[in-house]
Amino acid sequence: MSAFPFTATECVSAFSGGEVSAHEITTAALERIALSNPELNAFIDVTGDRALFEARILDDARKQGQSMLPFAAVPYAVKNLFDVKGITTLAGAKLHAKNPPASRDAKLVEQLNTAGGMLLGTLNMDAYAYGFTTENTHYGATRNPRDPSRSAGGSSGGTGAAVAAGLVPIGLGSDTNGSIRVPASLCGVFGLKPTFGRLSRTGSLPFVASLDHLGPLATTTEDLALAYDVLQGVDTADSSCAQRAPCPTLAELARGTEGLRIARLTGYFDENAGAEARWASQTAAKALHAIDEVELPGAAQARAAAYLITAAESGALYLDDLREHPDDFEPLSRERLIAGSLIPAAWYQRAQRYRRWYLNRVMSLFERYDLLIAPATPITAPLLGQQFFSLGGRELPTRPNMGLLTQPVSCIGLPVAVAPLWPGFGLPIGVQLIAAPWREDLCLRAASTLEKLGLAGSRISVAAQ
Amino acid sequence: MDFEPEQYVDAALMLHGLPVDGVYRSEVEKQFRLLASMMEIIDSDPVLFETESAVIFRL
Repeated sequence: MSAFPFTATECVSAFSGGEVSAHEITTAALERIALSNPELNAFIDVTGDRALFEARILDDARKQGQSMLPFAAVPYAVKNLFDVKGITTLAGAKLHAKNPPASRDAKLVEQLNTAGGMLLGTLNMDAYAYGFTTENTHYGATRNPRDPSRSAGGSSGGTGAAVAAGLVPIGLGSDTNGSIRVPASLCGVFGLKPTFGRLSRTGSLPFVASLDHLGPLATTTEDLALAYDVLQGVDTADSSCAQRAPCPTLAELARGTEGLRIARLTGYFDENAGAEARWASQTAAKALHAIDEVELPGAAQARAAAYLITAAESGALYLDDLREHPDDFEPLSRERLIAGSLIPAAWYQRAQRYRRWYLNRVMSLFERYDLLIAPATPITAPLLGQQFFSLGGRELPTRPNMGLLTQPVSCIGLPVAVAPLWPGFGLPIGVQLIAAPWREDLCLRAASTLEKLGLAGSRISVAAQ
Repeated sequence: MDFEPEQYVDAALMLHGLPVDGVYRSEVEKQFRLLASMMEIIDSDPVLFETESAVIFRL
């Protein structure tokens, strides 16, 4: 071993090969968190005792010659809307702080741990997952490791920052309208929003049930595929989880993109992209030999539908609490939730009808193409507290509009990988690699190709142990 | 009669038993007007009206 392992695949390999113990890996991760988290505010709870206990079990099992697990000795952390036994599930909200601690882990946490993972803690987020900047009035803003004066994105901003800072190689987030993809783009890490219904949501606090997805962020595509493969599986306790057998992706990465029909999305996706975002989309398209450029008619309406559905479902979810103790709510979201709770049923139903019609239109595009490319965010990371950003002569409010380019995609549940590109002045920006439902393998193969070409990468430097 | 967000918000807040006065009121109306504008964007695509209703989204 030439250097202390950091990535998930390095940890699995070094631990399995007897070069390092799980205890050493955990201790190193805890030291990194202690060093960097006071500035970043990525972690809300650090579960050091638990991780060390899990490490001891792994070290004992190795001594006894037990067979190695696929995720053995990988440290990871989760957005704090995942249930973690013994910790109150906050979803970034003071409103939930008085709830009892979770009695068991979320299903995806169970799966990572069963595969050998070691849980290091829970991560900051926008309250209720309603936001794109992780500026949280009650738990503080998470800072972007690339520039601490800037936002880490959201709502899984703690996850993006923890991975980008090299505190953990893998983090779990949720994505309703872009909450995995926006932090991946702004923090410069890889992210995967799987197909709607692909991963279990058991034991996660809902935000918008008809739009919520869970998924991993990672520093390499190999790690992303490894984590995704461990997370797959049918969950009969979750009625939204598809009854589909797992489709392993890690071994597929080596296939690259040869033979895939790839197009770049223009129209809405160019009109709502700043110069760096368009550069990223064009650069990825050129590298992946995407000659065709296509428009996605209805993207603006799809985004509007996602916006309305989000407001209606989240407003309904929190209606009783809004009535009884409005002052406990995050001030940055309270009025949006109240307004959402007032939406007429006819509006909500029309938004849902549009969604179905738009899905059919997009599926016809997948008869001609295997993969579509679009920028992930309109701009690179905004400053914390930045109220507006400029886009094509327009001044747009920052918090609701960082998802302009992600909402038309997640609105219909398509799988998307985000690969971080680097325009050249220090801040990263991601591209979305979008495939037809259940084809996460294609998204990951394209991300891996960009990584191998040296165009996409996390550029993480973990201090030597 | 035209849809009037201001009157709708006042009535709906009261009917829902939500806070009507103070700091919330104007911001709620602003947010509701934004939602109404999103509805107008959806309605700008006439193809919608050829679509069957499908409220439960599943792939």
